[in-house]
Amino acid sequence: MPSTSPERHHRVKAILEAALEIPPAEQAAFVETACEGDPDLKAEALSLLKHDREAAYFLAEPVMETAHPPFRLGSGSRLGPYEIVEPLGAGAMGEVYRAHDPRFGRDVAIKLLPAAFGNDEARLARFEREARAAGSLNHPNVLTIHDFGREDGAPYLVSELLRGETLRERLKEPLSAILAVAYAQQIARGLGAAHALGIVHRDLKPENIFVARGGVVKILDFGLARLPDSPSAQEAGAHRTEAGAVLGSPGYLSPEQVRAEPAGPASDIFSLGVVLYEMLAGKRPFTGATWVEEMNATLRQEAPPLPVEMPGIADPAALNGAVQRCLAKQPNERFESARDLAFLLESLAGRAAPKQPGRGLRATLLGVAAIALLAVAGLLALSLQRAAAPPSYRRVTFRRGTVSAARFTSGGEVVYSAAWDGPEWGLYETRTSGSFAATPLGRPNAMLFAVSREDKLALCIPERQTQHGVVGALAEAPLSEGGELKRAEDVSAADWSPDGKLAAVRVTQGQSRIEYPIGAVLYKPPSASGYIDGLRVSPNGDAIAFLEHPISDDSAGWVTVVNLSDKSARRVSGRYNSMRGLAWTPDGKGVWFAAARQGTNMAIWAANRSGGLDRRVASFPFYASMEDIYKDGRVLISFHSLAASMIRVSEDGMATDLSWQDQSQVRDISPDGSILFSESGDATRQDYEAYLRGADRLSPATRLGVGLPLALSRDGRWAIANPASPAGAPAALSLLPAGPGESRQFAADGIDHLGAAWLPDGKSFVFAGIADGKSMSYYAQSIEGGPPREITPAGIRHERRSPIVVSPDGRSVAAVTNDGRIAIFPTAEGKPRTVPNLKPGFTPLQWCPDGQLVMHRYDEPQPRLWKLDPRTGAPQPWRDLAANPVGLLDLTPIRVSPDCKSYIYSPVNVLSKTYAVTGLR
Amino acid sequence: MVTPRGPGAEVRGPAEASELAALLYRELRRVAAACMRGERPNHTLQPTALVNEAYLRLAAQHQAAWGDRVQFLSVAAHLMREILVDYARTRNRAKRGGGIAPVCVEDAGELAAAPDVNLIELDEALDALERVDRQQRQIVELRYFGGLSIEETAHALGVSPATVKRDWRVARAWLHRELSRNAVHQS
Repeated sequence: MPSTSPERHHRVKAILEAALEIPPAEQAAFVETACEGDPDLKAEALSLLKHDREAAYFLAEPVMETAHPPFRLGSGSRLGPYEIVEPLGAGAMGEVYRAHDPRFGRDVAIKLLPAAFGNDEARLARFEREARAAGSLNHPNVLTIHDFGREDGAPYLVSELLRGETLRERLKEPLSAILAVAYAQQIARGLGAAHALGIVHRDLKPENIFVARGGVVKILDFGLARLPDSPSAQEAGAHRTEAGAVLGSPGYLSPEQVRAEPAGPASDIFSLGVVLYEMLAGKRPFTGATWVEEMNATLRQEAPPLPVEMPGIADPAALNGAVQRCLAKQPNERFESARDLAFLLESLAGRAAPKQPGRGLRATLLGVAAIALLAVAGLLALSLQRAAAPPSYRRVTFRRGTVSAARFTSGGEVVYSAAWDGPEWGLYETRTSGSFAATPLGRPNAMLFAVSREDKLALCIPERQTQHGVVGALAEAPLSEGGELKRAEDVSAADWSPDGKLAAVRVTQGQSRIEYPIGAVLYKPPSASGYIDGLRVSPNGDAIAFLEHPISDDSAGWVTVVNLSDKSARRVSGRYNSMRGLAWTPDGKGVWFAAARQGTNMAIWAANRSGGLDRRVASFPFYASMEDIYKDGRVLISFHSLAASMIRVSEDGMATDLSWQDQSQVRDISPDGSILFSESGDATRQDYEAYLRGADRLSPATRLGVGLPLALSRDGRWAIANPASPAGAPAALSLLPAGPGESRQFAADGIDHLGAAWLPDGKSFVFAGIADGKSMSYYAQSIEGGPPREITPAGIRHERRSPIVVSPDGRSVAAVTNDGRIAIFPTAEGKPRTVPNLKPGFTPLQWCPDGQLVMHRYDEPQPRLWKLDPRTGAPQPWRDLAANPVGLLDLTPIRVSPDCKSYIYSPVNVLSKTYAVTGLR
Repeated sequence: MVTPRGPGAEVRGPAEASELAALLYRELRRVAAACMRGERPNHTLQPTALVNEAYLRLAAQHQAAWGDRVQFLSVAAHLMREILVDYARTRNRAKRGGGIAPVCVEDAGELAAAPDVNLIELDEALDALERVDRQQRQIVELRYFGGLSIEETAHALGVSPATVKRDWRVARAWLHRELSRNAVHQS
């Protein structure tokens, strides 16, 4: 082999490339001239030129595509009783032949599976059973299987021989929309029949959909399906490899299959949605240059809408709606069954579908079908209505800042309270019937609670910021001009009944309750640490709905409705994150609210007053608040962009922005200055993710894992976090390694874990927990496991945004007791003592080496840090916290370094835009 | 000569690999090993399926890390080369009576014996090509082992499609010559 140097290769390449640009006949002469005086170079170039001509087919196909196995059977050979006529085609799952069955004098199709397939008896038996089950369906839209056999270990399937082409081939020519819908309808019927037997296809795509002559569509390859009760489904570990994801084409797989989760009937409906979309649009809804991108698109992107005009389709919007519903990311948001879809498609095609061939049971079946049809009709009407017109959005607020609430007036104008360009709240009106110009309504320092039918305002005169939100005096005032009348103190939410009475959420001693009328307690949340907002009285005044949040300082929760006739309370929605705002529908049958099922994928949800499944009305990539619904169906929604930054202030007062992504919030600081923080914005897939970074601006952050980080061990090696827990389950704890190592989970054991701090030994920690039926206390726990040990009496107040404060020697912990005061508890032995002379409302943040506590008050108008000697109890202002006032919502969490020299706080700025939306259903 | 550094160019195996490559490598190995133990006879060793499955599993576990598809593909194409060449070697050993002939390797053997390409020789020739033109080596890997089109390859390497086209043609001629040279020597 000649030792070519890179430089030489480069020269040869340049000459060769130039030569290849000119006609072949002149190439050799060109090379001769170009290499004049360098015989070696000339020889090399000429040799490569020669090989270029010979290499036309060399490596021309990627290695995987050259790997077609040869046909194993020749024409005229026999397979069992069958005579092979000719090979028809080959695919990943075997070769297909046309064969003759002399016993019945008919031609059949035979699919010969790879020999390796025959090595696994269990798998083979399962395959045979399923193939037979599907084949025996004898459904016109499913390929009929005649026989199943084995030859030299290689299994084969004998089926009816179809003449026609696969849908893949058919799609090489554009398909009319009518034909596309007719095909999809047949596929849906075939799927429906299989699903009824518990057989899921799992790999539906144009390659295994066959369009036979005459336009009858058949689903092939049900052999890949897995019976739900097959033993393999329970085989540990076998599940993922059996999930079928590998064998499917990424472009047709459902999101759950892409995530390698089990596939169900809804997965087939998704795949059918993709096929239908492709038939209508000529391209798949989720595409990418490669399968990696395609899978990402399947998981994250919405399908682009179909054309607004489709010849022959009476209601293209409804068809688009149906396709989009097939393509819903969540299986339970798709059509409930393939049969429902078939019925809907039938109506959309605008003509009666060909009748199914009748069989013996026809009369009975017709009766059943009639009932099913009635049931489906309701669904159909709903679907058609929903897809009728796209919603339109009209912006009604225009300045920079935060909108706290917006309501329609009786005449359909919009009133809202906002803090524009700074911290002061004010009241404004936008006339949607007129110029859309915003008019200030005076009333400085008032926030809007509600507008009555007679256009009376319920206002909040804010007094303090608590974990229940802003709490203040409730005042009523006329919309136009006139004095304010104070009605109650300590109110965090309020609404008017249709007959002009006020309902309010009042917060006293850290607990929320609903009063209706004011002064009469209607409802107290079962969890003392929870809170209530989004309070709304129903249009005819017979019920009150609200958002119930079981954990303070956490917007997760659900919708509860209290019936005023018998005061019975009922939870009517699923559990959601980021719940913001609620409004009754004008008919009073249900409520709409803004919430996220996961992450920041906000949506407006509709919950029925009598329960049942929630319905997604619309989804958005922003935080949203459901503000109000007007009687004409217009909806007010506020969208919020939320930025949480992380500001470190050093000993000399220098502030550094250490934000990493869009929602960085400090959670702990280790003695060496490492910062544990959380991200929870658009950059995260889960609710919270844990990160670690250094204190200087240029140090990169490391992602530790999923979960809300709580505490960093003093050596910086381990973080304690709340992993994402299933809805309704108590929060557990996990240990995340900051370097190499495996993460570890601690079982929740019925205790909701809401905060943690390491003890100095690095082998045990303190956590805040709520055991079943008890109020909160602090516990000590070894990382080696074992039962937790209660170190405080029940009745501790701890918020997620606050740290657990352990003394430097680890012997004591400072906690807020239920009366709002600070007490010192021993972690092992000794007597608890309260901090004397200290008024309630302080939250400890750090225990300094000099024995002083750094504290904060969440309710101060001018936020600052305080220092305090726990023996004397006289707090001294220590540092003022400053931040950009525009849209400033919050400055917490705050953490102080263990040496009490620097601190980090997390200002959250919210910028809101409110829209009036028509066309949401 | 300045060769643009493509992503994944430095990946040669788990020892030097980035965390991403190490994960992918382990995963591919695990799937392949399971196959060789005869655990999964339903899976003929379709390279696409193999990478596909590895991706799915890893994506499920490491969602955030998979933003860079280009890096993933480059690494995957390279690892695909290693795995296929390994299979070809194993098959050769099995044919000579040494070692064990694992169940799936027959299939992989069919695959590796794709018409007129000796994967083991191609592997050696690619190593030689790497020494004179790393970008050409990458292009061959992405195209032949990764199944990328000219445009995708161009995108992956951050060069123009025309450059890929020219480099691909020269690299093919070069490799073709190396492989025919071997054929002459062996005969």
